Amino acid sequence: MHPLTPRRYGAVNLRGCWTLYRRGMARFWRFSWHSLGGPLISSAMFLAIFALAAPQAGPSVDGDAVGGHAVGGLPVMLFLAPGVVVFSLAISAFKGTAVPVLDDKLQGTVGDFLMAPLSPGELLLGYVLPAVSQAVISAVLVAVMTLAFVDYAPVNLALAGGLALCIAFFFALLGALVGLWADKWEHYGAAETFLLMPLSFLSGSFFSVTNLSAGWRDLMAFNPVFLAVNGFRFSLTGYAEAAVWPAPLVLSVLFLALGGLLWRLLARGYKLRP
Amino acid sequence: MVLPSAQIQPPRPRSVGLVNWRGLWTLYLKEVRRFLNVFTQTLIAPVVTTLLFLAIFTLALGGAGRSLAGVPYSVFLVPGLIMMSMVQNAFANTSSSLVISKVQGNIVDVLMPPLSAWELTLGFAGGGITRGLLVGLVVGLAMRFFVPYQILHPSFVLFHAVMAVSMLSLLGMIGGIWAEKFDHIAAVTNFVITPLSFLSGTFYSVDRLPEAWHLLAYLNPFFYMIDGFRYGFIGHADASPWVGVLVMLTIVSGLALTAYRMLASGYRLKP
Repeated sequence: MHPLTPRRYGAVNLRGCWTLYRRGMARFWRFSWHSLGGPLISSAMFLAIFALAAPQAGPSVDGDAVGGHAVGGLPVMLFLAPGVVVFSLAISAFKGTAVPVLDDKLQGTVGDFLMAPLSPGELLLGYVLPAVSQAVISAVLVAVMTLAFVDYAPVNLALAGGLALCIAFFFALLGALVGLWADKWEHYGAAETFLLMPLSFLSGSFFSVTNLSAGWRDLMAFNPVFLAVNGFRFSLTGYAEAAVWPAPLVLSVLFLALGGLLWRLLARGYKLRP
Repeated sequence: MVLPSAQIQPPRPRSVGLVNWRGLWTLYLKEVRRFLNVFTQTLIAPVVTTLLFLAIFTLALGGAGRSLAGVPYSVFLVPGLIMMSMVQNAFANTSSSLVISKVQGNIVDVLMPPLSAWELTLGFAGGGITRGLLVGLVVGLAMRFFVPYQILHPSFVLFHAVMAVSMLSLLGMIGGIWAEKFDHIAAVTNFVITPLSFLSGTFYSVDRLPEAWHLLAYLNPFFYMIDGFRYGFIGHADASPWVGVLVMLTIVSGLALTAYRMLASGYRLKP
């Protein structure tokens, strides 16, 4: 009789990673009615509100172009549509990691992952990839919905996809960091109010930076989320308010920095191990 | 030895009179302390969100000295945004309180004491009303730093503020009693309350709606509370302000009666 031998795996525990991924996605599909329907409704609502609240089409006193209000150099709907796609992408990705990480911590289920033969990198991937997947699914749905309002003039779909992925990864990593740091739901609520909301609302998803004063505009050039939104909008409409090329660069650097930080924290067992 | 049993009186129930004031006050305090305990989420968060809305709408749509209904666009926005935050918080307070109590089982703690259905209705609704009004006050004060708005008819502002938060507190109670799990109440919030509070003239004058939607807009109670509240600020209303007063009084009484009936019958509360 041979004793049972441990299962062997190569450099990466792919099966473990895959199991964690499937678990994350199963959790997502269970609440998909809310996690997909919510962003869809709120995005449609934002577009409807802006369409109704924008100054009326036709010749107007304050110099709007005939045929509708313009934001920056685009018709208001075309300006906003990429914005709401990025907005729902960012929110879904953030919640997609922050909520499960905190939930697992509070319910004590993290023990199951810390015991399993998963390296910090594998653990991180297992949490981040489901969040990115669900954010992409949600954003695609929202993008399809926006087609009812606007006709895009895509310049570079590969750039759009790449930037969307960058944004999803960035917010998923940010969410993981918040989930790891938070000790209770109030902490998560505070992060949502004071970090996620300002970051996603004030990054040019919904307004043109040309409406800002010069000082604020210069400050916006340092906001990575603004760069991403701007690049994403450019790739779908050909209209940009800042240079597009720094966006992938800055996001990659941030992505690596956040990923590295999280890897260190997981390796040390920050707030996870006694 | 014989105990002087004749002299030992069993404890008597406290006599509460017609209204159990102490019980009502205790329930009310519990409801208020519940949200004050997490005031960053219940008072500060609405302020942040509402200021963000003010910023993006003014930046995106308020350019070039745009005015609506005779006032700058930002001044037009202020009453709508205050109302939006008030009603969302009033609804959240009563609905979450009831659903959490039901799911955790501590709802028995308010069903067992000698509190009548009316006292329960008032106690729960009072918590939501207090939160709604406090949020409105804080949001209004915070906005004053950015937008120099005025209040032309304070009585209308006060009336519609109280009516709107009462209406949403009662709706939250009805929703909370009806809901069997968090999903149910989240669905009501996501798919009914939030859209209604966003789409009922918070950000635009309902004249802007396509013709076919006008009738629907005038059947929507959320429209009257925002319209009447805004009338109190800027002196302009889409509908007659007195019709709004009548509509609000009718709806709030109707909802209070419904909530009372649900509590009195024990619907989804008692076996």
